[in-house]
Amino acid sequence: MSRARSISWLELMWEFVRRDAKIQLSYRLQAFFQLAALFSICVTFFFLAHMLRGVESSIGTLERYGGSYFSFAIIGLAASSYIDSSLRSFSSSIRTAQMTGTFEAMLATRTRIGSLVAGSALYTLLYMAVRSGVLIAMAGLVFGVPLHLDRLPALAVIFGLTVTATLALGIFSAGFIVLFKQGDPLTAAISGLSWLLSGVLYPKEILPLWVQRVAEFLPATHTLEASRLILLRGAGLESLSGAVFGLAVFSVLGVPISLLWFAWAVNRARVAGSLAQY
Amino acid sequence: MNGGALAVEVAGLTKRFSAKRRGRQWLTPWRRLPPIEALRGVDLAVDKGELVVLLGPNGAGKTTLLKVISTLVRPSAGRAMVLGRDVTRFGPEARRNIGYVLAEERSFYWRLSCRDNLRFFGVLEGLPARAALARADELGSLLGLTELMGRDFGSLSTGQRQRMAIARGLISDPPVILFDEATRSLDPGRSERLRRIIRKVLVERENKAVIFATHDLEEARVLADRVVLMRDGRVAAEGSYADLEAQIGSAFREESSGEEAEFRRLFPDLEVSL
Repeated sequence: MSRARSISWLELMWEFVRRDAKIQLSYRLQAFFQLAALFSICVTFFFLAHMLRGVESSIGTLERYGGSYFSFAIIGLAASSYIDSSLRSFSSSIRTAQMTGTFEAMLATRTRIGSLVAGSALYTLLYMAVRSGVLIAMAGLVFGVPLHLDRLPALAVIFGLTVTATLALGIFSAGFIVLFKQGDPLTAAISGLSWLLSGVLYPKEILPLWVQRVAEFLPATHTLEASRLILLRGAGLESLSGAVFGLAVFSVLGVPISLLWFAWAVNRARVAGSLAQY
Repeated sequence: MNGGALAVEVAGLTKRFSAKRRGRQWLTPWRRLPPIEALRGVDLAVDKGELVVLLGPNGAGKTTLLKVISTLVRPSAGRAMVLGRDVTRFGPEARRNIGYVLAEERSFYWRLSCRDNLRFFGVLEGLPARAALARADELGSLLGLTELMGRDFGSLSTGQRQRMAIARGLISDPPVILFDEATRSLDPGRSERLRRIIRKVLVERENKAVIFATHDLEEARVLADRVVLMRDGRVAAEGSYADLEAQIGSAFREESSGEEAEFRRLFPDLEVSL
């Protein structure tokens, strides 16, 4: 009989993280350049905010988030780049594996495809969380943004709900890649609309009211608002029920629907014989 | 549970792929294109401790058959069983018993070492990391990869990569092993050594069921307990190589006769027999 036996899901996931960390570490200068890029983002927005300093106080919509454009923008960038990369991580990990031929090799193993996709995206999810954390820490430590670090537990709840909501959309977009190989319309649409409507670089309150209503259907809107209110105003979860509810609805409805869609897409690809094609 | 079952049992297996519309075919989207029939009612039974060679020219359906058995492709009709388990209904359970040596030797992580690659795929096969590493070392010495284990996969030669693909197929020590053109990038000495490993170690000593797809006649002759000759998605004949020699020869000649005629038309002055 085969030597294979059951290993825990955590062992399996660890192996994916280990694999991707080793691959990333093999590009030795990458970490340095990425840190430099984060610093460069901070500096750019620091000077942009410096330019706006004279008019900041007259921007009423900014007051809700503490009144400083720099801190507003940095948290917006940290949260939205996390959501953006997480969304893409599922589909891009499948696409890369299809292109390199490793997808077929993984599919030929006993591991279920759901675990393969989750494992392949996990490193990016963790890495981007750290990257966003570093960006915010840099803003606080180097550029003096006052952060309510006593509210980190509340931030962790919002972060957890963001991960599950993003997971749903990411798995959905992975289904597109399995079926059509490229041209995942969902990620592009969600990502584009989030940058436009969710208030990444400007408060969403400056948008027309009906557009703000549309923005409620994007997870990024709730994550951005909640993250800023927690970190910049020290808000607790009790005052963020709208955001918590919005993200919870995305998670509860989105995850099962996306899993069903993904299973259907995989089955179609097996019938078409195109599972590993690119 | 699987004690009396055949290692692999395929009955009436049919696979039709949808044809893709090209060029002017898009002008008549209502017209259905005839499907591409890759497998047409294939029957096959392989017992434990048996080595069956799937022999056939390119496009005969060998790889599609292996992909259906390994659950990568879903059949249109018929069924495939591995140790009594229907591969369509019990995919992960069936795959647990199958080692698939892909013809695609680039399907590894080029920036990881050979050992890390085998460890990763070993864990995907359900081995704890430490057991996967131990098995990787065991296979390294069997396949002459010991010296290469610490090297990045990307630095290997084509033949070395092919040996890694073989090691990966054997990593979980499965009872059923599918080889798809496994020796195509190996030098004659290593091909011969691999054939000995398959015959003496996997089949005779470990009683595994092996299905070996190839278009190499000599390989089929020296390796097979039984040859299954495939043509146009069908099993054209089945038996020992000696019994089928005439049919095998004509199958391969007919398959290339069209190309031969075209070659003579294009280059009438060239001597085509080398």
